[in-house]
Amino acid sequence: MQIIYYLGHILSERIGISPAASRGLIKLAIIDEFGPFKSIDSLGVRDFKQFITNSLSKRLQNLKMDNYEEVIERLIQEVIENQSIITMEKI
Amino acid sequence: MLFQVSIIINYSLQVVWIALQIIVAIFLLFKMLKTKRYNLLPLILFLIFSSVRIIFLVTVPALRPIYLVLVQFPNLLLVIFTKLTFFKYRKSPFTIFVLILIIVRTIDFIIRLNYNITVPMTSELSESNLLYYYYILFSISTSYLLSHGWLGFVSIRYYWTLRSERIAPWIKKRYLLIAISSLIYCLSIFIYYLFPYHNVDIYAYPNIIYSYILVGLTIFYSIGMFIAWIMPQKLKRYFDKDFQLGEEQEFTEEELMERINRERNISEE
Repeated sequence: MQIIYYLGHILSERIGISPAASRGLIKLAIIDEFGPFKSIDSLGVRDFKQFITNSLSKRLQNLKMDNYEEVIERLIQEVIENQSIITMEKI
Repeated sequence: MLFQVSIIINYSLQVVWIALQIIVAIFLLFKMLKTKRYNLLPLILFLIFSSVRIIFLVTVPALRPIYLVLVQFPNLLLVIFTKLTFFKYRKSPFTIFVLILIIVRTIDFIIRLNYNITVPMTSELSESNLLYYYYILFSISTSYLLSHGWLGFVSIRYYWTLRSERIAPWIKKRYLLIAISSLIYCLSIFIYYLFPYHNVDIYAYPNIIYSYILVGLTIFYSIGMFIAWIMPQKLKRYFDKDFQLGEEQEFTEEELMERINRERNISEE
């Protein structure tokens, strides 16, 4: 999913881990928030905002990231700014 | 004979663009139901309304009031689609665009209903009603600029912003196709200004020439939207031929934490 790759790339730059690990972190945060049965493909902008604010934020805090608030804010801003990718890649 | 052929060609071209619009609408309807991307609904309705209205106008003249109602909505629907797809939870000129369109199109509806004004004109226009004719031109221009113009502008801006990002090229091309189609279609407003208001025969010179240019631009737009939305897999693969996202690894919770800690330790060292 392109938006996950896009966010993973930003997260990786911000917290200094590989893009693959960042995407893994994002996917686990999605499962934390919505459970294992909600497909990533069905997530909308609101869902992205929700899991970034809640479960991903918690995971970054657990990893003792100092700048987690700034990272979360940036990711939400990126999702809102580039929300059209979610539609464009699904059709 | 030549005259009749030109009429048949004109009608055939109209059928082509209506068919293209309807095909895209049906395709998007299925996609919307499958993916639950309900922001596509205004675009689907836009495609249906803008095609069906012509059928009402051409086939059953008695249904002209229905045509006049249908003609007011497509641009508004396209503005709603742009808002829901690009500007949800973001500041945008959406509210002001909608207000302008509602006001402009309401006056448009009243004028068309009372004075039987069309561009090009199909009946004699008295000089005293010339102002209304120019208002309809203004209404068409405003509607195109705020709907197709806005979608085209936003799409080209995203294309430029995302063109260096690691996103599949076919997605970037989709932005580009929507942008080019919408912006060129938007330019067709200038053609409307060329129709002489006193020439009431749509198939007389020069109206027939301008009609062909308009139909040509409309077909160009429909083909652009068709390729953008119903992009064949072959074309997607062609656009992506030099692009690789890399292998996607699936991690368990433990594997991921171990990897993150390892990577962080390395970066701290």
